[in-house]
Amino acid sequence: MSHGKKKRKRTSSAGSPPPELNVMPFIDIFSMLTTFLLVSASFMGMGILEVQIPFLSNSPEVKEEPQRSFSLKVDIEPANIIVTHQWTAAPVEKTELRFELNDADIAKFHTEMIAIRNKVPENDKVDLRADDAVEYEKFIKVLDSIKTLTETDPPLTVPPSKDPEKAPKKGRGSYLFEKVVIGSVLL
Amino acid sequence: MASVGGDSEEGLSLNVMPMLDIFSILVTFLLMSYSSDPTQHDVDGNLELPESVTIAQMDEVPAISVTRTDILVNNKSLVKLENGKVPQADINQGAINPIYKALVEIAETNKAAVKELTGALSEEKKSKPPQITIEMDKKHNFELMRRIMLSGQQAEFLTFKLLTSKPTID
Repeated sequence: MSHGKKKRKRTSSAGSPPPELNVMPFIDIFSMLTTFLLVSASFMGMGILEVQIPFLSNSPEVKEEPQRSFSLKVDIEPANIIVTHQWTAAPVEKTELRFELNDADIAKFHTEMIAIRNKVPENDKVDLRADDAVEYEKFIKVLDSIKTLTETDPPLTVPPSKDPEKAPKKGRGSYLFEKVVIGSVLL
Repeated sequence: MASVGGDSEEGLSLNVMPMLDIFSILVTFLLMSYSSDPTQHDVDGNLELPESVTIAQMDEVPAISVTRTDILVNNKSLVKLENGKVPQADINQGAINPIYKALVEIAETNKAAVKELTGALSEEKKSKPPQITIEMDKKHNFELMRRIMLSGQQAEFLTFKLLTSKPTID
């Protein structure tokens, strides 16, 4: 970019003209910076949703004392989401909730998942099953509702994660249920 | 500063202040949306990622890409989809045979690379299940994802990272 010839304005008043700022170097720097940023910027951010699948093991079964644990299962059908939770020992307290597979009900489903997490803070695992006909986009929406707590959601009353990477950060979301196992893969 | 249309003795001069304003706004916007992620990945034009508000960042380039027409492993097309479904000839025990074979190769290459680097597999590496990143077009059905995951499971991949798109400005 060429620099223009400096000009001095004539002033109506007597004496020397006021000093004038040469903005051309600013424009040069801005042009270079804009070009560099436009070339190197990526406008679409990418994230990942981590899921596990069950595996079959040949190792001998370890016999442990049966403990009362919480089981949370989410089934995605072409038109519905079914949430089933229960305790493995008495009192079982089995509950089944049904939501429609649309944006409004997915929001309600997310609120219910937050309530379940707060009710049983020691459980951070969900067994997710999906029907073959479910669209991948909808599957990701439900998975997102299970895994991620956004900054607009009420904070959880669970103890914070020991892993600093997984601890909630200011202005960002955190994990709602960190472990999601897709059980329907092996069925 | 003089503006266009000054008297004839001075000639024409351009008022650059509006241009400076535009540049300032543009630079501010670009700096705000600038991504400093070390991993950069260009998504295929034939693939539209589903949206997600996930907090986890992409940390590796996806090995498996499922576009509207193909399944690619490391940018090599292995399966041609027929109306979004895997041809019956490529299915074996519910899994996709060419994908399973390619994933077995990747798993073996990864194991050999780790052995070469560390001499022997450390306890941490042994206990950590191998992972793989998948990107898939949002219009496909879960059946296709299930078959890919089953192929991965047979090749000893138990953790899957599903690539999604998200807004860059939080």
